[in-house]
Amino acid sequence: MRSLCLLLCLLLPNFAFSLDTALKGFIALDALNYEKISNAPGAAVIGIGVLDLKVFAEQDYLSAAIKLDLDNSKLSEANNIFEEAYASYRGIKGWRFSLGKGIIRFQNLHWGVIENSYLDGGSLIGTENGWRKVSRKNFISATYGNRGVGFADTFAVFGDSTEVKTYDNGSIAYATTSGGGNGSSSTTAIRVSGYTADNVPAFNTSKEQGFANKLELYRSGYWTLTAGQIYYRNKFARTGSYAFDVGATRDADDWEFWVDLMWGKQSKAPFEAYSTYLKQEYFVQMGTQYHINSDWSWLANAEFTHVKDKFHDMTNAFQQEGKWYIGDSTRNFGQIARSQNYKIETGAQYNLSKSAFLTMGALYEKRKTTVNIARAINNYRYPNNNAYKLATTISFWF
Amino acid sequence: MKTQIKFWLFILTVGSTLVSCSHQQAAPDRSIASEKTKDCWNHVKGEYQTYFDNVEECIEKQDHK
Repeated sequence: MRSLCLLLCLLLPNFAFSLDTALKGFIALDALNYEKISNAPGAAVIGIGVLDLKVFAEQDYLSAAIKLDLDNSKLSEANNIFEEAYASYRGIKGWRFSLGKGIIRFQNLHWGVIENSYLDGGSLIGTENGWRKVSRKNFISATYGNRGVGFADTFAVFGDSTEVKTYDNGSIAYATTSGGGNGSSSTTAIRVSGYTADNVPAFNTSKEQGFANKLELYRSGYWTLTAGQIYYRNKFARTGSYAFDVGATRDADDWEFWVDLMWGKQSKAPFEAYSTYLKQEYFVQMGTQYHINSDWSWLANAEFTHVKDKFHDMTNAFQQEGKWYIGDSTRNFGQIARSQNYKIETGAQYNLSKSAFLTMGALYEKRKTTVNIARAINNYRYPNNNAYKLATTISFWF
Repeated sequence: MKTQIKFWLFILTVGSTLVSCSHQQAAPDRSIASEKTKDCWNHVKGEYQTYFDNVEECIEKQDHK
């Protein structure tokens, strides 16, 4: 035993290496918020707005990062505790290669004043846009360029981190709900609520293919111009989905600006979450922040989204392996819905310290929805509503 | 004899440690960051969507200043 200990002591120094790690975080606390949606009671909201922690590890030209998703995840599910987990190699001059799970960048994302962007779920009434922040994807990417050379282009191949479960013979595993029949005929069909899906650590290109590209141009020290494209095809979907995005950001000590425009089409399999037969959408965001002095700044942000959504038609039952199944035909009967959301925000920001600020602001949002079959309007909680929010938030980062 | 072996193993361990440490590449000095790195960290803003990207950029610069 003693010899073993001595041998260990003898060998340990040969495995010595240097590793730098850093833990970074972002927390936003809703100190005093008041939200009111028309035809619904108003309410105060107090608590944690966002909470993110990311661990970075660096050694020579290799780095790794893990972002814990502590505020928005089902932690009991496999691989779900981390929103991002990837490794990067920067050993070739100008290049960066990354592999893992994380965000696929093609948009010019920017937080508003007191609410997140529509592209990241920032709505009081709810929006129908499908092309939101593309996160939790398994990916491999290559980036060429950096601020020094004036541009950076990132190309990524990606797939979902959840996969529809299929049996050995290729048939699909459906999640079913009670209330249906035994599946012996079309009139006693089993009711399907969704697909049975698994969290997977790697994606399979025979089941899905995703490609994305983002070009960033750094101009005059202040402006960054972006252009992004994305394509995704899941074999269960009717057709591929794609989107184009252009954006600009001015990052300076006096005036800051951010602009983003996106157009996209999306198709999803009938029993996927937020399913659509074909969705066509537009998105515009414009905002500014003016730094009055080192302590105070004024902010304004406006967003608009228009979505034309054609739903799947689930009025007919279908057969698999001799059994009959039927989807939710009360919500999906081939209707077409058009919805528009817009919101405007303004507020003031006070720097509490170098890495903390207080934001006080107000938001107004309006939504309009039209449908080609009247009963389809019942599917929406707030189809034609407006809402406002008064907020005081404290943000910390470290 | 046993004491001799222990003694030489001890000498070898200490020697090996010293040789290994002397060949270790010095880690970047975090406390005295270069102007370029300092400038990078000063420009990290509390914007939720870009915060971690900016942090990663600065960490990489710091590592290869």
